[in-house]
Amino acid sequence: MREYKGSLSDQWYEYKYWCKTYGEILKFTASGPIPVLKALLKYPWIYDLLKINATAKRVTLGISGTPMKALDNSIYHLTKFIVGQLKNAVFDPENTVVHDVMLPPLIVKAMHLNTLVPEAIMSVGVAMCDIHAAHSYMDYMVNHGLPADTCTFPKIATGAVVSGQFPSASCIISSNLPCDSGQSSYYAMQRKLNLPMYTVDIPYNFNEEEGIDAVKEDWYGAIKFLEKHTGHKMDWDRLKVLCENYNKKLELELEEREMLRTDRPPLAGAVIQRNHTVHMNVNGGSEEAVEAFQETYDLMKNAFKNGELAVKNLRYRAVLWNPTTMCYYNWMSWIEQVWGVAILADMETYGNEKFIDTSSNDAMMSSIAFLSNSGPMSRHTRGSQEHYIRDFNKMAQDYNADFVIVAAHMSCRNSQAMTGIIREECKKHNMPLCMIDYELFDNRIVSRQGIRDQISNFMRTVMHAEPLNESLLVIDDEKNW
Amino acid sequence: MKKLDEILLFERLLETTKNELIEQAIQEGKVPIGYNCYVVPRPLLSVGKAFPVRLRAPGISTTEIADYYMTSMLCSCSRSILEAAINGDFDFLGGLVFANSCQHSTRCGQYFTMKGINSDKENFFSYILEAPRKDVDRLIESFVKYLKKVAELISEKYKINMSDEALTKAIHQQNEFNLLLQEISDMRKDVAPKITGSEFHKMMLATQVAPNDLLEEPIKQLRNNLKKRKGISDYRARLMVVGPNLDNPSYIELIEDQGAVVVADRFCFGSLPGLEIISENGDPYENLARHYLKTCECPRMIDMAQTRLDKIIERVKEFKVDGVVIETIKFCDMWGYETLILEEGLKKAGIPIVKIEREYSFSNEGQFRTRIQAFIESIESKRLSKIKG
Repeated sequence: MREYKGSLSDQWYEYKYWCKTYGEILKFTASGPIPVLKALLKYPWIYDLLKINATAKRVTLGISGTPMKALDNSIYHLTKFIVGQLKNAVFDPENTVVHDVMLPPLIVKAMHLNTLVPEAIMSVGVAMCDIHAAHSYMDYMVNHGLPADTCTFPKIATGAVVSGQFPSASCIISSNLPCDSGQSSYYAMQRKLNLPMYTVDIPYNFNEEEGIDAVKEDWYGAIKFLEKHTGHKMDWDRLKVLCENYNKKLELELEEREMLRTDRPPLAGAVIQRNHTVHMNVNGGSEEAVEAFQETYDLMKNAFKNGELAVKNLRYRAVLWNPTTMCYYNWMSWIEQVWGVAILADMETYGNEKFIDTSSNDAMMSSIAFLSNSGPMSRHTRGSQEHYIRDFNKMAQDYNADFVIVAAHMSCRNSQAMTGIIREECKKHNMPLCMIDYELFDNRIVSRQGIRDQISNFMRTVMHAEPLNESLLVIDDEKNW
Repeated sequence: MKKLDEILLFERLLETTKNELIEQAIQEGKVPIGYNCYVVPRPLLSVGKAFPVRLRAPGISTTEIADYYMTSMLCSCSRSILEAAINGDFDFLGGLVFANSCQHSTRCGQYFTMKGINSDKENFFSYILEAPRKDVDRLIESFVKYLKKVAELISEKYKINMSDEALTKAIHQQNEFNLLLQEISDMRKDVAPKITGSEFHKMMLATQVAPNDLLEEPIKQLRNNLKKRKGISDYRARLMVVGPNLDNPSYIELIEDQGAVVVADRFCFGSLPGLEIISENGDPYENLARHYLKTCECPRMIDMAQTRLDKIIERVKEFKVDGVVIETIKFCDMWGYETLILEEGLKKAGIPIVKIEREYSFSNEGQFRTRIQAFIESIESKRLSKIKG
């Protein structure tokens, strides 16, 4: 049963997006029912993806107006993206490349190849639709001999591949991002899929000319590799179009950031984070991604003009450091409703402000190298501590945050290693710090209520706040997939 | 078996970070330069009055301060080194070169700067060395540039002549020293090895934490004594140990106490790799860059998983190994995934393996012992059933 949103227009909007989302799934099924059915039997997680509208319902619980519309919109475009990935895998595997989630897909797409991103499908899509489905892949890897404490982000994707429940493609483009776990997981995937693999090595000195040139050369190497293993050639004109699309999105995103920095931020939380991760990074450059960005931007701009606020009872401005708590992806709407907190920026979204130079082919390659090197999960995890600390402080300042939330994912070695320094930085700048101990995808280690309790304790003891809605402090998560 | 005097010396050298030979060298005006990983070329830190000291944290059993900074969810090796650093155990170092080997170690290296460790010391420098993860030509060129930056730092801070000739000389000395170690290493290949795994481990550790010129004589003496020694023939199994940083000889001692002999050491601080000869012809920086990237067998290296597996299988034959002990340090992600590949590959090749997760400092002795005992018994029983047909 869907909740009444308080107005018929909101209700109609929700219903429309409910239909549009299922429509995308039906279109995919209708395009080849037999292969889709075969895929469903072979890759059971496709069934879990069908729960996407239930996910939409959960993320918009208690939310109406522009934030609800933006959330519905983002779930719809996420569905479109995942359906597109499935189409590639089911109908066109020979022209599809298994692609590392952390790398910009511009090169592969410019060669008229499809991408199949294991982490995006499994660790974002499936886990978001049903976290228990993701648990089974984590457990599979642990039973297979992988230490239980390794990061669950690559572990879910690797579990699907190693258990034989992930489709194959023509070859693999991987990288050493975001961390040792991410890099090494691709060795295991490659051995199972038995595909040729090319790995881009993001250097430590990523922002020096030396580092950018090294990655540019690496990308040229990847082009040769793809030409050899797929027979496709680089289409520089297509690359230019994709890069221009990327620039369009960045332009919109920069404007969005300006609005978010004002006293009256029109949107906050999961929409900002999800749009960036999916449409700026994983699906970067595509026309669909520009469309998704434009729609959110229009909603935001309109809300800004009308003086609407992201959170009805906005009391605190906060920023999120580290990736969002994927095992509890709708916590941001909870914190908005219970504590009146708007999360205005997150580490994954915060960062690159440089446009791709499309003046020549080589200039585009340099820009793509820069882009590969300077993503938050590149510069913070592979780069030096200075970038990490500087960005942490700057993000809080830029958004005029009342406090910082650090989602301390316990298997993230890079960020765990910076815990003490982050505490010291916060003390130095007199910035309240809410550090949430949890595991990125495994809510059996720290439950969702455990996450909420940590936030509530912080809000009460450090911010001396009282909840806006006491009844939501403790929620039964039993039926919350 | 009688303990040789040289082994007693090595044991003494391993008790503290600033051992007696380091003290002697410092008194002679030499400059110890710390480093963290195999990919930091030792000859580069061995030019003129400089000498390399690989970082270890002997005597660190708890890591309260390091845990505050890094939490307890990181590899205990990096945490112990940070704890030792904060305790002042590395205050004798004249400089530090930290390779970006793995994320734990890189962050540990960054703490030297963040916490200003040794910053009050005149001329002290701390440098994170960018070591590529591929051994392709263009990245070797890039590695050369970074090695030259280290050379510039050493030269600038300590007025050491880092010319090509001086570096070639250091490479030559390293090669000579490695040849000597190689002679001893080869004794492990005999059916009746003349040196135990723990003795060899202690020697290898000592060579990485003390000035090699001061160790040359004791090692020559050791070689001569070993030649006269009767080989070990009453062992139950010949084992190879594979894994990351292992700088505590107690682990190998414990394995050998169960009746095995460790004949091959494919772990950081071990000799496989470590004793290969570096080319002395041509540009010494390029020789170093090429050598260390090509011989590095750490899972940090990209596209090398199959090569690493093949090399282990090759060494199993070369050292007549009966079984492989894969030891990993808790929270090491790279070795976590690497183990999956090794386990599958070695089982396919019919090589018995046991996988043990451990901490950096010697702990969980009982569990470790039981696992090793069971492993040795399984090797023996397989051997028996083979004989019985």
